[in-house]
Amino acid sequence: MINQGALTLANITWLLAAMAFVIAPHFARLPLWVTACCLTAGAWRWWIARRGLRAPPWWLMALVALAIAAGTRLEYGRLFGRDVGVTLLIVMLCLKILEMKMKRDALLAIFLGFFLALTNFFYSQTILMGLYMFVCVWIFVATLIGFQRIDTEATVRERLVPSAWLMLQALPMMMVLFFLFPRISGPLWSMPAEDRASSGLSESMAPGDISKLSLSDAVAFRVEFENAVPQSSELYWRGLVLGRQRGKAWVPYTVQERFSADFEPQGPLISYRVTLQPSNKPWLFALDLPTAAPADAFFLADYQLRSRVPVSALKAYSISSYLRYRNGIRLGDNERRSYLAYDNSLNPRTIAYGKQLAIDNPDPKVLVTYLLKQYNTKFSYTLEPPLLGDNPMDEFLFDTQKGFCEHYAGSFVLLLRAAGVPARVVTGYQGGEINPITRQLVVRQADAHAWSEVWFDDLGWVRVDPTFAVSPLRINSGATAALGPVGVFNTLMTADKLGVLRQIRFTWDAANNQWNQWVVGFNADRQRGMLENLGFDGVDWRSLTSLLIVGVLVAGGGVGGFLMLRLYRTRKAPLAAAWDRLCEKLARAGFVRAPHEGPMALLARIEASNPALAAEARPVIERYVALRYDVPAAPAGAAAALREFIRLIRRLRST
Amino acid sequence: MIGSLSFNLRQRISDWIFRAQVPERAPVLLVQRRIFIIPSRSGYFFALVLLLLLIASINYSLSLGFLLTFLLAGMVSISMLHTFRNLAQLSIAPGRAEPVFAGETAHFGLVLDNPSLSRFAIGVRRAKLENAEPEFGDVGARASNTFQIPVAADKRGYLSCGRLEIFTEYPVGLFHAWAYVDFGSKCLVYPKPDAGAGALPLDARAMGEGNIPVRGDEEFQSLRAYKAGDTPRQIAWKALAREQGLLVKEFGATASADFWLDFDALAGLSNEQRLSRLTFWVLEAERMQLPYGLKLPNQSIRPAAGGPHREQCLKALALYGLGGPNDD
Repeated sequence: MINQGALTLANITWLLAAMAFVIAPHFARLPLWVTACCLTAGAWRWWIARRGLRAPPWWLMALVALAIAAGTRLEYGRLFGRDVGVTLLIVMLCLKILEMKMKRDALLAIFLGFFLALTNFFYSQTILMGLYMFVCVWIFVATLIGFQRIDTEATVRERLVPSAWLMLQALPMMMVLFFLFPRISGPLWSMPAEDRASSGLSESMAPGDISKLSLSDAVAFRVEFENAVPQSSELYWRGLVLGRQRGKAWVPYTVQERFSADFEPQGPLISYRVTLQPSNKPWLFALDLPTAAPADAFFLADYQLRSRVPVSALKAYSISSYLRYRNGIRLGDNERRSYLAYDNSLNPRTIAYGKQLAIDNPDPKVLVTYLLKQYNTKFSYTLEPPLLGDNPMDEFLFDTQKGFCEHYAGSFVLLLRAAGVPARVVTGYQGGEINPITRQLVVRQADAHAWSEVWFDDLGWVRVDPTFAVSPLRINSGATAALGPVGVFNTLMTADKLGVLRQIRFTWDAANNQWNQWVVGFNADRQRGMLENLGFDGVDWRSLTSLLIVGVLVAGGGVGGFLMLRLYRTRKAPLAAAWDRLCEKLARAGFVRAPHEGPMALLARIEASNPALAAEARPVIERYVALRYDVPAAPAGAAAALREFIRLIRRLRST
Repeated sequence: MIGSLSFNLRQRISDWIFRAQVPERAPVLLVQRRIFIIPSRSGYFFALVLLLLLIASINYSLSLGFLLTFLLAGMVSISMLHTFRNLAQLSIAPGRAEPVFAGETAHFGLVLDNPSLSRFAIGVRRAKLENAEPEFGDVGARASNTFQIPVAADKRGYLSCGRLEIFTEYPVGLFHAWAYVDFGSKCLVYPKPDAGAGALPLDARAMGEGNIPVRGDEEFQSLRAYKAGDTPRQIAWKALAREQGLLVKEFGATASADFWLDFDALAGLSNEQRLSRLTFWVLEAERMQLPYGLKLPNQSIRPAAGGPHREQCLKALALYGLGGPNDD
């Protein structure tokens, strides 16, 4: 019954703009033809509204819908799953908007638009995405308000201002609900995993894999140490152990689960808390070597730390490590064979050289020392090594002699194995940067690193980092220091002599950290922790619900009180208020206006007994009569006249 | 359906509040206890959307999804206050309702006076009528707006406007806030003029002395002061030119020129048909500026012409035989 006339051009334009805003972040992920469909539907709908045309016929819409479903099936190979669902939702919503005929359809589109806003969070939950979606919701609410106006068309201001108030006034209640709504951890039902490109370390290491990462400024994880932060050269964040050579790459062996740590600690225990960015990979990182796996995670025999489910959301865990240790007493024959195996068909010069080295240096320790010295004198560390061919290690070791950590670790392990010394590649991160604002260590993708572990019968597995031999600066001061500026951002950082950019970067990082701690990573555990800090111990869902109700009532009541105060504070019209002031002034001069007395009658009475005052009051009173009883020619002129009247009253007192 | 269910519910609520106070004294201020508010149909649907958002947020552990869900939930709650505020503190008074003829549409005025912030998309409709088409309008800050509520006038007599529902769903349409007023407004409905009545029964004046009147031939009787409602044709312009003030010429009907419209003379017709015919003749006589008198079984109106006379005659015709205080 209220539907008529709501699909005006302005309302449609707002709706289309809101949709474009909310779909925009998806465009990069959507197939091109889907994007084209959406834009066409939007432009067509606008044209229909502009020209007052009819919507396309239903059979055409049905055909297009079927074609899109078929296209989606072809594109993704299935018709279910999250990404497919998002794609279908977007396209079908665009079609719905194209064919909408009534206000009800538009409202449905707006409500589903809110759902589209949520789908963006599947892919990104950064501060910027949060702010962007807030703006999107604002535009949607503004659109909704436009559709509710019936008699008159809402102006841009009449859309944006009330919707902004609605959103701002909703914020207290949002905060209360966010922090106090009982959180359930884990999914309600299991979902098929989505294969998605991810940043971070991959499961294999070939030349070029890690140097690719070192261009990325993205944060891998943040660490809060309980005590002092260890030296940069001790910060080896163990990730994967790659024991098997397959072609040009190093990949992990399938190893069994380890149920307890049994290395021999040497030195102090370091405790810290890691907040890992989502990587969609199961591996977790800890300082070499961790003592116990956190909940929902486990160790492999070679101290790789694995999460039971891939890390698809921000993950925080507390863990402790010994930085000095003796790991392993005996290497089984099978294991020894595994860690000595190499691919005979590749890199013949390297293998021959390794065999020769074994003859020259029968003591493995001497051999390792000798090799590191060779690296130190002949090789150089670079992010942009020359391309390598079919026998990459041969070319690297004997021809180019320039490389990144994966070249050093890979060639080193291969040489040792050829020389009969068990060895393996370990990948992870090395170092990190301390944010002086949060006192946290920030480890970025650029800090990705590869090193090696060598088996000595008397020492067990010993970490040897050939990169350290090539470029000690890399280990002691970080990748940027060793490599010089990499990429635009780092060039800027280097040029930033005053440290302004660095300060901004630290502040932004601190803000991101707070966002991660309090928004993205806020879960059932953190909720409990927060309530315990506030003095609510042992909160169960029942007490949480009562807290929530109290909080909602306080937040809603506060905003409601403010709203009602504004409503009941009904000011008198300015003219009436000014007239009251004038009457007050005349009353002080002895002329109290009788309730029935009009302004001219009052003036006549004053004139009779006090002509001087009357002469002064006459222009003011006449002006009031003109303002009050004449129909003003133009509102603007009336406003000016009113100001003049108020000014006259004020002057009356001064004389 | 939900629609008719809520309609019945609202009927019951409104019957309950109005159990002893109709008609109300104007103006009515829409204070808190007069305003009701429930979710609209869109509101229920939006609640479903919120539930879906919540489930998706839980299932995918989307913290920002929670944030979005709760922002919208907060927005909904606050919008309830805004919807309430869009009605609260409005001051309502009845406006004029001009008489109409049966078969036409009467318009009941309703003045909404707003002492504070701007109000948008206020609807007014008749509460007793399901699916009544509402009238919509805005009421600016410290301004007033007059709504005209159309009511079909089927029968002659007094047409009652009945209870009115003033409602709004602004700003986001998720809540329906409403209030009832009943001023007992009435609109006079004249009988439907019977166009088939034919020419004026001028032979009726044969009952008098007999000369056929010619237009402008009426006998000038006296001058009297102008009253609101006199037609400009009667104004004594010459007297005005002589600065004697605004005077009106009264045309007396002398016995010889009396022209009576007589209810009883229309034999063989039902009462309603007679009233319709007489109504048509009253209008015809007015059009011809012919003085006329009206004889009904219970009253007679002396011959005259002009606005007030016309209204007096039409009112007598409208209310004939209906009883009530105005029927004398």
